[in-house]
Amino acid sequence: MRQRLIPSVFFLVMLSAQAFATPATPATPDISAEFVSTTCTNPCKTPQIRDWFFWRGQNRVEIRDASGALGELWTRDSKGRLSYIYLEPANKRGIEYNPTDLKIIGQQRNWDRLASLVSPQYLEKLKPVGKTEVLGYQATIYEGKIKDSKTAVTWIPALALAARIAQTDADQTTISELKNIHIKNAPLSATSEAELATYQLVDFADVGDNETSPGMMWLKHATNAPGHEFHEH
Amino acid sequence: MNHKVKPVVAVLALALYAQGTLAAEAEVENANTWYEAGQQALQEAKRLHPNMRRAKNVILIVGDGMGVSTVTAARILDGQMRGVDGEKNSLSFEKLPYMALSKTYSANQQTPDSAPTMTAMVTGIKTSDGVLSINQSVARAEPDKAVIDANKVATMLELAEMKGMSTGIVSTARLTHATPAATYAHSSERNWEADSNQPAGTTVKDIAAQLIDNFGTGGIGNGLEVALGGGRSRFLPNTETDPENTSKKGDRKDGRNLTTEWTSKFGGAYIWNKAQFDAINPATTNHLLGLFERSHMQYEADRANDTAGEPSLAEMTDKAIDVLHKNKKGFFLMVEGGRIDHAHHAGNAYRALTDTAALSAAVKTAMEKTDPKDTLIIVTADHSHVFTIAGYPKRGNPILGKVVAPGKTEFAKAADGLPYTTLAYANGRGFHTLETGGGTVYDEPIQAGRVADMTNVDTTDEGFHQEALVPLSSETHAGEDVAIFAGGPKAHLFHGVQEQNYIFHVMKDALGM
Repeated sequence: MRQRLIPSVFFLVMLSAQAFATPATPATPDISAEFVSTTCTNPCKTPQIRDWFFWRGQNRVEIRDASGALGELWTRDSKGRLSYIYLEPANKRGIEYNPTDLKIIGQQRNWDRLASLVSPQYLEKLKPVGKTEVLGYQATIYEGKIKDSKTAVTWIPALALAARIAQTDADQTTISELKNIHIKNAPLSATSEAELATYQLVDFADVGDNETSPGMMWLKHATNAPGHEFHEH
Repeated sequence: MNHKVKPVVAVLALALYAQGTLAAEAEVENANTWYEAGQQALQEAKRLHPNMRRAKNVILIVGDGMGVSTVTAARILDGQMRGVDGEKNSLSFEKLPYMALSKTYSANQQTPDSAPTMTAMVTGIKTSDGVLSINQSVARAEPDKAVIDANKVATMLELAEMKGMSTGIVSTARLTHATPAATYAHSSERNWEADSNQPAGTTVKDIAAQLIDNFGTGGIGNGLEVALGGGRSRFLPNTETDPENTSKKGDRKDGRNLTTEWTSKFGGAYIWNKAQFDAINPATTNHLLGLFERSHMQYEADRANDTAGEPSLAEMTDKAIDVLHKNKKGFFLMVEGGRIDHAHHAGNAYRALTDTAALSAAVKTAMEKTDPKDTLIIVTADHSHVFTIAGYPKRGNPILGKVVAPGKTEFAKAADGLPYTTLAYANGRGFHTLETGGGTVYDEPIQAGRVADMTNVDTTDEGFHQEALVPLSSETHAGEDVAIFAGGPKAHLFHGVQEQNYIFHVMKDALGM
């Protein structure tokens, strides 16, 4: 079975990626937040619920599922190029992808989308339909239809962050929702550089030479890394 | 004729080539011209005389993963990007007069990895997967240094050092990566590149440390004269900020800064960017360590975008020879195009082929800067990849393009009614292309086999992945033989089909060892 990291959120988030070549850069204050994603087929019988953490710095975005088993860390350099680390925090290991690696495996990302969960251009495809308050922040509700899916986004301008993303199509409904922000005593904290230095990090370019290495067998099961899939043989 | 492919020019040329605006140069071709060309080649072959002299210098150049199909496709792409006849084009090393085939299997693998194959080339024996310059009796990841010491095998580089020759290694991969590492290190695990990569209780020295500790005082010879490539993090302590990527630190837990140890122990220079590289005066530099990336250096196609700037493989080869040739006793130099392999693993033929062209430029530099009377140049690969050139495309069809049959202008169609590319892989990530403007779908599934109608897909795009039959997360090595090209003293000994470890024996014999 194929596993995905935080699937519902990224299903939505990545849909916004294609059309936005030059998004405006929103102001993005540092954020530590907790989200919950619910995915269910239509009609819904057994919803799948996942909690996940989101940490944002000026040039750093980290996402991790609440179990701490899987995560991803995106960083942006002075030239705006993105690097990515697939993380397995529980096992203290990961796979590093530099900007060229991401380019040649077709996994480039839009920074605004990563940092805000939806890009400003995505919002432009929706219409503001009302105001609300989310965890003490003023928010705007946007709705519309994107690629045959009924879509609603609750956007917090002060944080440049989507607080709720809901999408319904013929097959399923996916909702990702902000639970907490600026979390105190959070069960998990973002991965520090010092922690990262203790990880076994493999350069993506070395994966091909190591999939049969006895000490690197975990690479075969790193199914959520870009370009990695679990194969049933 | 210049085989060097500069990135910006290359991208422009590729764009023009993809648009069909670069036509192969017009040349009259008929039965007479083919016959005459054959006769001319015959006469040139008859003029060949084995060079029986002792070699003063040996240059071993390895294209990592550069199988025969890669050489052929790179030859065609190189020619097409320069607007000449791609099929007739020759890479620089294809002009070397002698060649043989190399059987690459290792002691325990039908299809090998780079560790035993390079060990074979530089020690004269085959060994098992994942180990560097030790014999096959040692288990992979054996932690006891005493076991390693009892079973290590002298390398060509070490023999040259013992003879008082100058030695050098140049690679676009990390200097601690399997191919360069096998020349100077002995380890039961190719991945023990820094001490932080080793499990607790291991007494075997990490690979980076061996570049310092195995030579000079307490070791062999006076130390390598040249070591240029990537892998900086393996040489820096985890308390030291990386000079190029200041958010990162070194990998070493033992506190050693091997770059400063290099300069203090061997009295040489340490550099990490292109400006410093350009400033190096080879006449006054006797030991040069250059580490231009934390990990591997950039692909040639991406080199121009590097933050701190990197020299090309040809430029590093040029500088290396200038440093090494000062020794009247001669030199041994190993040059590796290390990223051909990585691009193939990613299923990206464009970068594999442009890096092969960069290797060709490096060989051209080596050929121009040395005398074939006293310098043996060997160009080979450690192993192949599952990379194919297929279908029946017409002469001059873009090698990165879709098949168009002779006399046709429409794409040839497979049995499923869809077009197909000339280049493909037997396994790997499969078809996938970037959408215009960048962003793509997250977690794109591997798509093997016939998965998309490529009629309107630009398959010459640098981000295009050729189709693959068997879905794997990474394309794999292949087990067929690879070529050995050679020129200079004793080059005629490369003939027929040989075991890969034969290369060492020719080098040793050529140097009179």
